[in-house]
Amino acid sequence: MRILKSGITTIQDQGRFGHRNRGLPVSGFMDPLAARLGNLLTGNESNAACLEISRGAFSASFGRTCLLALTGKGFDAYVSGKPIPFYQPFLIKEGEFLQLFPKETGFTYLSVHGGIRSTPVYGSRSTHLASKIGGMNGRPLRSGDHLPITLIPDENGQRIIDYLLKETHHHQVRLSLSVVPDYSSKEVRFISGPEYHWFSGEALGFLQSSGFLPSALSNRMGSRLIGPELQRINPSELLSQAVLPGTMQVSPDGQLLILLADAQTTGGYPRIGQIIQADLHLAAQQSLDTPIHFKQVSLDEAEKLLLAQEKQLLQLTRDYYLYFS
Amino acid sequence: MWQKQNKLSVLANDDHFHIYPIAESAITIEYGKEIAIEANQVLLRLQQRFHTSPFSGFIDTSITYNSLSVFFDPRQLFSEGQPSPLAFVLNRIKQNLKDFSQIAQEPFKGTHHLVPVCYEGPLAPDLDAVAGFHKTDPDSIVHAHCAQDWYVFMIGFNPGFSYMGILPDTLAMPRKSSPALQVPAGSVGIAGKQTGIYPNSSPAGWQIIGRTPLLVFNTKESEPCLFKAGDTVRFTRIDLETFQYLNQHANP
Repeated sequence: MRILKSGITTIQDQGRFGHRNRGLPVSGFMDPLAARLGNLLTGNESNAACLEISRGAFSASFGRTCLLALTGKGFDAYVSGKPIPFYQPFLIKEGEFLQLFPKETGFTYLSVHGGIRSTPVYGSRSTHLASKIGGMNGRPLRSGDHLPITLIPDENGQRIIDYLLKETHHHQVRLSLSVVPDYSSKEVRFISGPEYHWFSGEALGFLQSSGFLPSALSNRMGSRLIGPELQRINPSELLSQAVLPGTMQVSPDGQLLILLADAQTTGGYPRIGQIIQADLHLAAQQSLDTPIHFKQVSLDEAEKLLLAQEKQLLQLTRDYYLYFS
Repeated sequence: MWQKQNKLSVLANDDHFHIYPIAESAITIEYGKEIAIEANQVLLRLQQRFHTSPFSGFIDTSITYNSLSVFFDPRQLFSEGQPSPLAFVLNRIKQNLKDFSQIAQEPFKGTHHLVPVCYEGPLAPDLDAVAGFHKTDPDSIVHAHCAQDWYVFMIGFNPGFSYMGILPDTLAMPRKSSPALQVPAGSVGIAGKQTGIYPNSSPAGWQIIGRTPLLVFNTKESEPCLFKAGDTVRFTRIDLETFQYLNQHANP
């Protein structure tokens, strides 16, 4: 697979675990749900490395027939000028070009059967740009990069490929809308954070009643949101504590910050909340022009929602492979 | 000796641990509210227990001055039939704490490092300000910074960034009101009662009093961090010429 054109595209997998005490962030997919669906559609394990495409036009050529899928949001895709829908597996043939053009803010995942076989660094293929590790020498992809991909499909992959090779089937396999993430939903659910009660009743009210607009100050590390000032009633200085993707911090000027995939390992700002794991993909795929509405749920509910999401994904995986067998 | 051990075992009583979830995948064990070496050592010993006999679904821990957070994979625990991964891990933590408080406490053994620092000219942009703050001369500040071992409490914020202390009042100084836009890798800073080294060039709110020629975070090594929590560091003063001779940042 050869990169012909790339804006900001990095190689990511589920993340780099076990290195928090070295200060190494987890990194990995910004939208773990979309990437997981892409890996499912291409017959991969959930942790297979994908391309995360986030800014600018992208194009790549393929030296041989490959099983691909596009998930997430933000781009329009074409193969040899023909539009390619998201959330469905497709084949690209030798010599064909895949092109993506930005449409709106968002992260799009390109999954390839077998995953991107770059060399793992500290147990992960995820790119962490700030420390220049993982992926393609720790940097975004650029024109001329050649990405290693598997030559031999496994049994699951071969079945999907054989099915799609029958011309009549080509555009028939598609995830049902009920399992495709609904990014138009602007409600993001959270649980209270350890310093929740450091904030005034008014601030806690604002947190759920006001919308918070994503600012241009957003990257893989996190996002600064524009909203009412969240005032504190407890002025204590916090000793640095553990933070993780989804942590909602409040800066000294009362602004809400949400941490995402490249979140630092510890932070000293009070943690007003924590976005639930089942909604992390919504927080990561926010559009710049639409406010996010936060809704508080209990920890118990957060676990139940995660379990429900997990059950649905496992069922989907079973159904998907059954379809081709 | 007996007194000290006795004190530690009292400290390690699980009543003193404040345990709370911070996400569906992480539980924090807080111990004390202050920066204290003894408390950090209790947490380090506790941390070892999680890593040497990990429970099902365990991923990682993260240590800070006064807390240890335990990270796990709720999806794995769901697949093993646990309806509430949090309840399962909370139980394991409580059991671990119960066993922990019943065993004799050995002091945590870290590694001692001798770290050369050049406190001269452009490598020490804030040294005069620190001296001015304490109404003394730069030489006394350097002397005090090199006069004792500092304890590494935690690595965090950025890959390889070390938080060391505890600085005496004669050396402590608040962080800058407006951060420096960029300080070079190896910059040694002071913030409050903490001292630390910037592993990579970055914006910095700490008062920069010198620079080390050593790489404290090197991804070419299998262990990228020079320091880990529980280590001790003694700074030793070098001149500019020696700095340039030793500088590992020149050819990264």
